Amino acid sequence: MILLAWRNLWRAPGRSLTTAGVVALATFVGLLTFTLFWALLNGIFETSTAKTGHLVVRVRGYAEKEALADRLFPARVADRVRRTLPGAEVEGVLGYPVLVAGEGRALAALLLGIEPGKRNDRELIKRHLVGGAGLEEGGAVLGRTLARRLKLAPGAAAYLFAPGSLGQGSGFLPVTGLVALPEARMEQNFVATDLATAQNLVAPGMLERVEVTLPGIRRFANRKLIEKARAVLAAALGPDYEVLRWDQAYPGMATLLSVSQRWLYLFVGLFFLLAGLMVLNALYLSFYERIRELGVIAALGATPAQLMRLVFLEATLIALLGIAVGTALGLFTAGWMSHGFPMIAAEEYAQFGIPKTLYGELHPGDVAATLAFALLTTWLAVLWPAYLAGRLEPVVAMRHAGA
Amino acid sequence: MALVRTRNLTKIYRGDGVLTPALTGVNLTIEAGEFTAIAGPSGSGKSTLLHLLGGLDLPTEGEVWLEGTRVDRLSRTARARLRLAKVGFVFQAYNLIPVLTALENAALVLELRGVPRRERETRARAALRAMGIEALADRRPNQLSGGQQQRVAVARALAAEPKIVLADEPTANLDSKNGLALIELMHRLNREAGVTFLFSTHDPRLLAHARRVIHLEDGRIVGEERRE
Repeated sequence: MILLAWRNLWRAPGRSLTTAGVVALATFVGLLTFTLFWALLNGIFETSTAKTGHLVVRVRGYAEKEALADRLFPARVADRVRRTLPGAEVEGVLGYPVLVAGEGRALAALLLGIEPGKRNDRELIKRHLVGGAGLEEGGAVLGRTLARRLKLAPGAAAYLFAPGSLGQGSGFLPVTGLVALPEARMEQNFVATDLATAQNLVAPGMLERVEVTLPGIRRFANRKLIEKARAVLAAALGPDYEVLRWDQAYPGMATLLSVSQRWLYLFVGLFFLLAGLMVLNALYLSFYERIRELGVIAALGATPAQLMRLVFLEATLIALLGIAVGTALGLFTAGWMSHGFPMIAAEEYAQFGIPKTLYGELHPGDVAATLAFALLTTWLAVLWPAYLAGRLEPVVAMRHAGA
Repeated sequence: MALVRTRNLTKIYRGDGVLTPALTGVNLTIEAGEFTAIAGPSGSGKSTLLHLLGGLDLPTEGEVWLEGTRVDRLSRTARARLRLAKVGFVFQAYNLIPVLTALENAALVLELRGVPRRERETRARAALRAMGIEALADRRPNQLSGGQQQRVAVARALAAEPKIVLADEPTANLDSKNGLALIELMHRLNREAGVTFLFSTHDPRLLAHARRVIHLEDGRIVGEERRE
C-alpha cells in the first residue's frame, strides 16, 4: 500500500510537489512566526527588565495607598533582599511625584532616586545620555523634552518641589545631564537624581521600591526561574511587602504579550486553514482522476477501509515531504535569526519597548506543535476524498471516465 | 455443494426514471473445476451476470450464493472480503495499475490480503511464470503489449488462488494470436490446476474451448451446451 501510495504521488509530480510545497510553506511560516514571536517577547523582556529589573518589592497594597508617605519603607529592606538573593543586583529606588521649575514655568514630573553605577544609571542615564556628564551626586538628570520645555540646559539649576514629603521638600539641583528616552511620554516627565539626594528631599532613609535583577536571565523563557525567585523573596520578606515579577509590576506589558500571543495563534491558524484548503483541492483532484482505478482495486477485494487508508497514506506522504522541507527551512532561518536581526521600523516600535535588534528563538514544543498542526491539517483535508473513496461502488467506479 | 448458485436473479437498472432490465430470473449453478462460457450478443447481460456473481453489484431480486454464502445479503465490506478471498477477476480492459510493475500488479490481491512481502512476491512470480511472462516482471503496463497486459491480469487473478476466476470478455481487446494464446493458457490452467473459470465472450475460438456454454439473450438464459 505504501509503495502504491508513493508511486501515485509521482503520477502528477508537479501537483504533488506543489501540494507538498504548500505544506512546507505552512510549516515554514508556522516556525518563522514562533521564532519572530519569541524574538519579540525577548526584545520586550530585555527592554522592560532593563528598566525595571526582574522583580520589584513594594509595600503591600501599594496601589491603594492614598498618602504618598504610606508607600515608602525603610532602606534596610534592600539589605534583606540582598541576603535572600545573593548574586542578584539589588537597587533601592525612590520614586516620587514632584514639580520641577525652570525659567518662568513649573511642570509635574516623576523624581527617580537611583543608586549611581547600578542598573537604572546604566540603562536609563548612561545609555540615553545626550547632554551633560550624567548622574552626579547632588545633581539632576532631566528628560530632554522636559528640559527643553523648562528651558533648562546642563549647568543650570532646577528647582524641585515634593509636596507632602517627609524630607526637605524642595531644593535647587544643578542639571548634570539630559537623556533622550525611547518612550516620548517618559521623557516628558523624567527627572533623576542619586538616591541619597532624593531621600534627603523626599524621605530620609526610605525607599519606594527595590528592584532586583537576577543573574544569567536574559530570555522570556526564563520566567519560571523569575517566579521561583519571587516566591523565595516573598516568603523571606513576610506579609508587609509584595514581590512582583516585572510583568505583574507593569500589567500593561503583560496584556500586550497576551494579545500578541492570541494574534499569533489566529495568524498561524488562518494560514494553516488556507493551506488545508489547497491540500484538499489537490487531493480531491488526485482522487477524482483515479476513481476508475480505485474501482478496480475495490473490485479486486479492497475493503472501504483499505481504500480510505490508501488515500490517507498518499496525503500523509505528501505532508511528510512538505513538513521535512518546511522544517529544514524553518530551523535554518530560526538559527540565522538567533544571531540577531534588525527590527523593521525600529524607531516607531521603540516607544513600545521593542529594541532595534531582535534575537530569534525556537523551542522544541513550538516545533512539535507546528509539525503536529501541519499533519493534522493534511489529515483533515483528506477526510472528504478518503470518505468518497470508501463509498465507491466498484462497478460504477470502473465506468468512470476520469481516469 | 455448488460453487456458485443463483436463484431467480434479476437486475434492473434505473436511470432518469427509466427502468432497464439487464437480467431476468436467471437460475444458474456452477460446479468447482468448470470451464464455462457465457455467450451472447452485446447487451445480453453477460457482464451484469458476472458482476452479480462476483459481488461487485447487487441484484434487484433473487439470490446469489458463493460456496454456501449468500452474497447479496452481505455488507459492502463483507462482499469486498469475499471477493478478496474467493474470486479472481479478469477484465476486458486489463485494468492493471499503471504505477506498479507486472510483478507488483500480480501481487496486488495478495497484498490486500495482508500476505507478507516475500511470500506474495514468490507467489506472484510463480503466477507470471505460469503465464510465460516472468521475464517481464519488472515492466510497467505501458511497457507491455495488450496480450502481455492481459496475461498479467490473469496472473493477478491466479496468484491469490481464488475459488473461481470471473473473466469478462478477456480476449476482446487482443489480436487473434494473443487471444488464442490466452485461451489456451486459461484452458491449460483449468485442466492441469483445476482452476474454475467462468467467462463471458462472443469469441468463437474461446467458445470452442469451453466445456459448457450458457447462452444469454435479453437478460435470460436461452440455452446451454455441455461438451466432454
